[in-house]
Amino acid sequence: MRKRNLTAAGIALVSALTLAACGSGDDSDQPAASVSGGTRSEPIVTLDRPMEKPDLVLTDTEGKKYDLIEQTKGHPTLVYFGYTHCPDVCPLTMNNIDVAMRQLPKAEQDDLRVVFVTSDPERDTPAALKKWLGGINKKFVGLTGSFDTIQAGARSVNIGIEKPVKKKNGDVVSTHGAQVLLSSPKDDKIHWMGMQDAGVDHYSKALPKITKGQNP
Amino acid sequence: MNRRTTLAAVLALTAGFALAGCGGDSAPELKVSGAYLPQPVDQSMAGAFMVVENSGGTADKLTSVTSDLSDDVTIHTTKNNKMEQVKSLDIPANGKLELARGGNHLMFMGLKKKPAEGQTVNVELHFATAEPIKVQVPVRSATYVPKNGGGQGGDKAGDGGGSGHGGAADHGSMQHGGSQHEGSMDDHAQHHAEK
Repeated sequence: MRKRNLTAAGIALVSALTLAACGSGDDSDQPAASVSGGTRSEPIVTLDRPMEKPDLVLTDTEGKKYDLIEQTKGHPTLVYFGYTHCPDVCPLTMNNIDVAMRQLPKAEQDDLRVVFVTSDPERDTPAALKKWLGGINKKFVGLTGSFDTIQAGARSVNIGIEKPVKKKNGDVVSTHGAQVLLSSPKDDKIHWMGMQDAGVDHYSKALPKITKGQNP
Repeated sequence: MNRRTTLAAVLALTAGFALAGCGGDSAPELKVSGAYLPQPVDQSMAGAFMVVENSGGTADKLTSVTSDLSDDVTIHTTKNNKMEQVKSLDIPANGKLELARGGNHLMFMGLKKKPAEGQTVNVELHFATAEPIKVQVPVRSATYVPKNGGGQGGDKAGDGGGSGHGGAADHGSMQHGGSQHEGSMDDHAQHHAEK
């Protein structure tokens, strides 16, 4: 982390210098064009200390109450915090999971719970979530509710999301979580995390193990 | 040799500053490569990625984008998992601007149709200085990530377009499995043409 920060700072510094030289100070809030991390972790990490699932009671895509802990009990479960007005990482993550999930035997597909919790509940109504998730996999569960509740749930599993901010130009700035939480059907605890660079192949390899509660 | 390289670097740096500082007379020379648009979930929005290389001695900026896919195309950055619209993105002299998964991207809102894998989207990039560039952007699968980039497995700084976010490390208190691999992720980037 430190190393990555330093690299980023270095790049930002160079960028800032360049910008200063160009006299475009008005762009100083822009990041460097590309920030490359020096160290990378495993795409799917096994946690040293498993975590409890977030204790979230929210509303599903049918407008019904959904108790995350209660309704995923005994099932291998994937939880991701994201939002539908997201052209890049959120659909990529959910599509990666979808493609990998379809490679599982039918019974295991039915056993698996994939839960998408919105980090932008104001825009992601049950209907909006239903439409968007339906475009990926109709079996995916979509949850919405009050932002504060969702944020507290995310915090309990060390996922940082921030309240969407509406800028003057009407643009809404939202955040998505960086990791996918994967829980074991054996003890209902989160033992694994899918990092943002986990692709289809990583999930395809990991899911057959995880659905059995084994380390990938 | 070393000394010469250093000197050359210093000269290049000075030249770069000088040119950038006074507008310069060596025009930016831009080339676009590796463009793709992942098949979107629905018709409401799509993102696109590419690399704009500048072999000229003057920096430029990507200032706006037009397309036959949408009348509302904006330029976005992603910092700490937070996506934000920006007015422009810099293309450094003798450098490149990377639009990659998890980072900078073009955002198309209110699509005229839902692009399907195998199709092409016409995009025109507009710059502060250089002439506009027309790019035919191929629509790839929703899970497509280029082999050398896209915030994925690139090992070399500046080569992989590393996203700079996404690791548990960003959240401080995360427990890692302990295995930190450096430079072993070549087989890591995904390439999925089908779903």
